[in-house]
Amino acid sequence: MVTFDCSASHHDGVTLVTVCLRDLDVSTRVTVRNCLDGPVWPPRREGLPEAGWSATGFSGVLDAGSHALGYATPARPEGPPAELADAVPVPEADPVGDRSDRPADVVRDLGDPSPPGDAVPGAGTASTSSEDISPPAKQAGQSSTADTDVTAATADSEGLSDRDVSVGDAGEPAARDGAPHEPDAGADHIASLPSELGPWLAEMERRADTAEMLSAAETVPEATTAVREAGGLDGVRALAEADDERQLRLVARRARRLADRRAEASIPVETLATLA
Amino acid sequence: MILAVTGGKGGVGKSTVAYNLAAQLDGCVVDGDLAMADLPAGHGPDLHDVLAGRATPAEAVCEDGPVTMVPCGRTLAGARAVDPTALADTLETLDRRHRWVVVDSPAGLRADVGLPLAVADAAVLVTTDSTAAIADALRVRELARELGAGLCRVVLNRVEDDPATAAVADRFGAPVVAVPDSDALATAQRHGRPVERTAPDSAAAGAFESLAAAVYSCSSV
Repeated sequence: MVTFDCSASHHDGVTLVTVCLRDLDVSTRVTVRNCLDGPVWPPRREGLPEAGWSATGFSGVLDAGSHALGYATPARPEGPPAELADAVPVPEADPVGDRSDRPADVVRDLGDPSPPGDAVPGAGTASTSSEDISPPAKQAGQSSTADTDVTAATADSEGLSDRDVSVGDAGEPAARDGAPHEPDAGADHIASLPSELGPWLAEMERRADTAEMLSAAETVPEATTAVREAGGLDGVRALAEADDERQLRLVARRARRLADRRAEASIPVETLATLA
Repeated sequence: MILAVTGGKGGVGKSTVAYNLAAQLDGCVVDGDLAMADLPAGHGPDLHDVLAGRATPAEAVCEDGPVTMVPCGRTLAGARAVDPTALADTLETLDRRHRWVVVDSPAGLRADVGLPLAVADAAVLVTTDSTAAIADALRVRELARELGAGLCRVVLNRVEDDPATAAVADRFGAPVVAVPDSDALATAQRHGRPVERTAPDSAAAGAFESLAAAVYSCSSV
């Protein structure tokens, strides 16, 4: 015997529906259907609806005893919010929520491995759709193809440039055989750079050396040497507050972008020579 | 047969083992580290494209390298755009076309480790002999057990002389294959080549040969 009752409350444009199923004698397959005029927003874990939930409501096996189910919907609460469409005793079946190796259950149990949105450069807008009160659209299936495409497009556009710079340490085949170590911006490399850049990079390198020495100093004599090297405590403070890292990264980024542009633009020397 | 190469801790050599094992088995290695890919990159569609529905698994298979592989994309945006649950179907699809599908799993215990284990026929755990690595590998063994992936072998990686294989085997309840710490192996991996090609007579190449033989024997049980 099952006792079914449900209630709904409305807050800020969202209706929260609570369903209580009491006094199940044995494991029972129940189907609870949403009666409100709007989509079911099921409970989710790791971005995926909990097992048993679908667009129309809940269907699954519940253990003997009493259970509560809850979901949200944007529809206004008018009339009974939900109904018990079916309840069939199935003493042998496993109740919903037991660990299984279905992919959705694995993701729910172990956690979505995707990097957080904040970690993705330039993707902030892609994952926030207007109806984003429901959880991340990227895994909700068909309902969210538009969103996924936007994110995917971002992935594509960034794919090329990122790939070019970040693959090195994974051991690119063949191409890098002759150059096992990336040039380390040591003094001899500075020599081959434009003369305007050389002194500035050399200064940056000297400051990086000093900073490393300061950070690595563990004994008093070491620290004394390092502080003297940095030009006294004032020098240490100035070095700590200097914006070297940001500046270097800015230069690196700009240089990379320019290098990419140069790589894209092939100059047809021979053709131009013929034309001339 | 789907084989998950996993281990919990980062940096213990999962990718190296997966890559060299796939080379020995003449199988297809899948770079399953969705956010921090380790195996060589390809030029065509990759696993990100497959899991985002932009390519089929077959299209992402890259056969022009020394080892057949499905490379993984390098961008965080790409990693974010994928549907991780699609990994299970992808591996099963590859399994229908390749005798051996070797999955290089990421570190940790999240769903990208669990999903390959959920569809894998067997797991190979990789660990070094450090306490931390063994503790993490034991956690993954529990997960593999819950998800029904039989533990085929434990690879004790980067061993020096006289490794404590018996103690480790005892701990895991599974046979151990020791892979020696090897410059030849590290160099081969850095250049995206299996050690059986670059140094076929090295001890490391011999270790992968016996690992492959062990995996064969697991599959025939």
